[in-house]
Amino acid sequence: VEFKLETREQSVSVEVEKKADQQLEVKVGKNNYEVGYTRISDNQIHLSVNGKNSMVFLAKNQDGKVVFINGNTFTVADGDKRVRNRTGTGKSDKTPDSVTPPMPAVVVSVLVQNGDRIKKGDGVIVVSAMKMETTLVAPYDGRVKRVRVSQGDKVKPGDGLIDIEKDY
Amino acid sequence: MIKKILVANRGEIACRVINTCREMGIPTVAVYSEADRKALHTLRADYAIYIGESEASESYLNIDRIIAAAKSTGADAIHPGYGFLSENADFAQRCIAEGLVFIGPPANVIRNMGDKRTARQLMDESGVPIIPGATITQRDAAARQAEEIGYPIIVKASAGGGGKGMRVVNRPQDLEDACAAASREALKAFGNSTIYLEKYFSKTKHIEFQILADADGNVIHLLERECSIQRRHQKIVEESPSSALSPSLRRKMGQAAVAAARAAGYVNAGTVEFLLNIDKTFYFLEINTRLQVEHPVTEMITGIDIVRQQIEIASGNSLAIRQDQVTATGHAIECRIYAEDPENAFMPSPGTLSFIREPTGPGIRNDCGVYLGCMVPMDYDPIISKLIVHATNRTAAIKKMVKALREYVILGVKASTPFLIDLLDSKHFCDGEIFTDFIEKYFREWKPDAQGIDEALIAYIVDELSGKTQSPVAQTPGGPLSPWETLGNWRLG
Repeated sequence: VEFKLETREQSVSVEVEKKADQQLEVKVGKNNYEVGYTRISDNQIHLSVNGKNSMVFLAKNQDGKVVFINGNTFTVADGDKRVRNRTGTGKSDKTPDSVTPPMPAVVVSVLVQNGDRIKKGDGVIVVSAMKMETTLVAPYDGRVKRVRVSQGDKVKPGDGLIDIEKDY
Repeated sequence: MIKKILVANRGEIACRVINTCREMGIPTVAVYSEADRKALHTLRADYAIYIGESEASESYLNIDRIIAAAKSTGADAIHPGYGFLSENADFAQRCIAEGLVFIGPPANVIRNMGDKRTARQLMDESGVPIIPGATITQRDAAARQAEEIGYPIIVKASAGGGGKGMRVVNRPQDLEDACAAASREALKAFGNSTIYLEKYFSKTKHIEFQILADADGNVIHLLERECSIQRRHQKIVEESPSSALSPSLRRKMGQAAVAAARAAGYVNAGTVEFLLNIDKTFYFLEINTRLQVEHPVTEMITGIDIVRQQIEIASGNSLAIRQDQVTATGHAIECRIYAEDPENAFMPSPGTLSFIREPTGPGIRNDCGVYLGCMVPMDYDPIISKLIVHATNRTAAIKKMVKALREYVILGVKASTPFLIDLLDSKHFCDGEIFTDFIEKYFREWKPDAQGIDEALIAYIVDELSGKTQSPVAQTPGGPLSPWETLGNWRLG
C-alpha cells in the first residue's frame, strides 16, 4: 500500500507492506525499514525501527496528526485527503484578501479605516493574546475595503479582520 | 500561626503554593475565573471559590471579590503568588485592614519598590549602583531625555515586571510608537500607564539574589540566580549558581543585595535584580517584592522551601537560618515551558491539551499547572509548567535537562520544548556564553531539526493501521472508521 504524507512542507511517499502480526516493511522515500510496533494507548505507540526502539506519541489536530518523537514534533497530514478537503467544503480555505490573527485574541485597536491606502508591511490592527500585543500588517499594497471588527472583539485564526483590495 | 490560606493566583504557581501548604497541614482556598472552572489549581485546592469573568480585572485582579472569598471561607491569610495582585500595595494594605495576613512584604515596601523611580532613588541614596535613566513626565520631553541618555534606550513601565510594557528603541523615530505601546501594555497589565527610560546595555547578564528578611530585622540572601536567557525581555531559562560570578564577586553582590533589602525596609521573601556587565560592573535593576517564577532553582541547590519561609515569616516567626548556614550543593536549571510557537516569534498558542506526559527521574521537578484534557486559555500568561533539574555540576545539569525535555510530551498546543532542547544543547550555552540578547543573536532564525522524521511518518501510518483501545472518548458515532476509510488514497503496491 502506498501513502502520500505531508510534513514540514514536504510531500513524502511511504510504501507499506504487512509482514506478520505487528510487523511491517516500510519504505519512506528511498529508505527501507523493518518495523515492529505495539500500541500502548490511544496516544502512545512503541516502535522498533530496524531494531531501534522508540516511544512515539500522537494526537489529532486540525491539520492531521501531531507526532512527538524524542523531543521533536511533526505535524503529519494525509496529502491526498488534504487536497480533497481544500476543494471540498472550502471551510479551511484561507482568506488571502483579508488580515487574520495567528492565534485567538482580542482586538486592541484598529489602525486603518475603510478606503485607506496602505503599503505592504503597514500595521493595520493591534491584537492581544495572553497579555502580549501584536501588530498585524498588510500582506501587500492595496486599499482597505472593509474593517470587519472593532476594539474589544474576540477573534480567532481564519476570521477576516480587515479586507484589503490588492493593487495589481 | 496561619490557619487557612487563600491563594490569589492561578496555574502552576497556585499549585506550587498549595503543595507547601499541604505539607504544612494548612488548608487552602483557590479562587478561579470563568476560564479556569476546570483549571488544575481550582481542582487541587481544598476549597475553590468562583470570583468572576475571565478578564483578569473581573477576577484575579479584583480585590473586593478576592477579599470576599477569603471572608466567606474563613481564610486568615492570602498568598498572592507572582503577577496579578502580588505587587499591588493597595491589595496588601487592604488585606491588613480586613484583618487578613498578606504573605509578602509590607504595603509601603511594595509601593516604594513598585515605583521603579522611588526604588532607584532609595538605592542611589544607600550607595547601591543604578543605571542612568529618566522618567517621562511629558510626551514631548521623552525625545530629549532619550537623546541625553543616548541610544539605544529601553522604555519600561514604572509599575512593571515580567517583561510587560518594555520596549528597546534604537532610533529616535521609533521612540513615540514604543512609548505608546509600552504605556498601553503597562496600563493593561498593571493598571498604571507611567513609563520611564533607561540606558540599554546589549551584552549584559541578568543576575538576581534571593533574599529573606524577618520582622526582627534579620536579612539573609540565598545566593544568586542567572536569568540571562530571555525572549521579549521575559526569562525562559534560569540557573544557579551563575558561571559568571567568582566567589569574591558573589560575596560583593550578595552584600549589595542585603544592603538593598535593608534600604527598602524589606520583610518576607524578595529578589534583588542586578544587571551585570561584561567588565563585571553591576547595577541595581529592581527589587521584586514577591515570590519569583524561578525560585525553584534556589530551592534545589539550597534545600530551602521558599514558600514555607514566606509563611513562617508572615506568621511572625524569626528566620531560623543564619547567613553562614546557607550552603549550595550542585547546579540547578529551570526551563519555562510555554504554550507558544518557537518557530513563529514565540506567538502564544492557546488551546486544549490533547496529551501530556511529564518527565520523571532523579533530580527532575516539574511545577505544572495543567493536566491532560484541560484548556490553556488565551486570557492569561501561556505558562504550562516550569521544568527544573538538579545535578552535581552545570554540565550534568544541562544533560539532565535535555533528557527531561526530550521526554516531555505536550500535544494539542505548540510548546517551546524543541527550541529549549536546541538552546541547551548549543555550544554557546554550554560554554556559559549567555547574555540577555542570546536568543536574538544565536537563535533568530531557529527551525526545528528533522531528526526522527521517518519514524514520525511510520508512526502516523501505524496509528492508522493499528486499532485503538476501547476508550469511550475515541469512539465516533456510527462506529469507528477503518483505516481504509480514513486514509485519503491508497494503491496496491
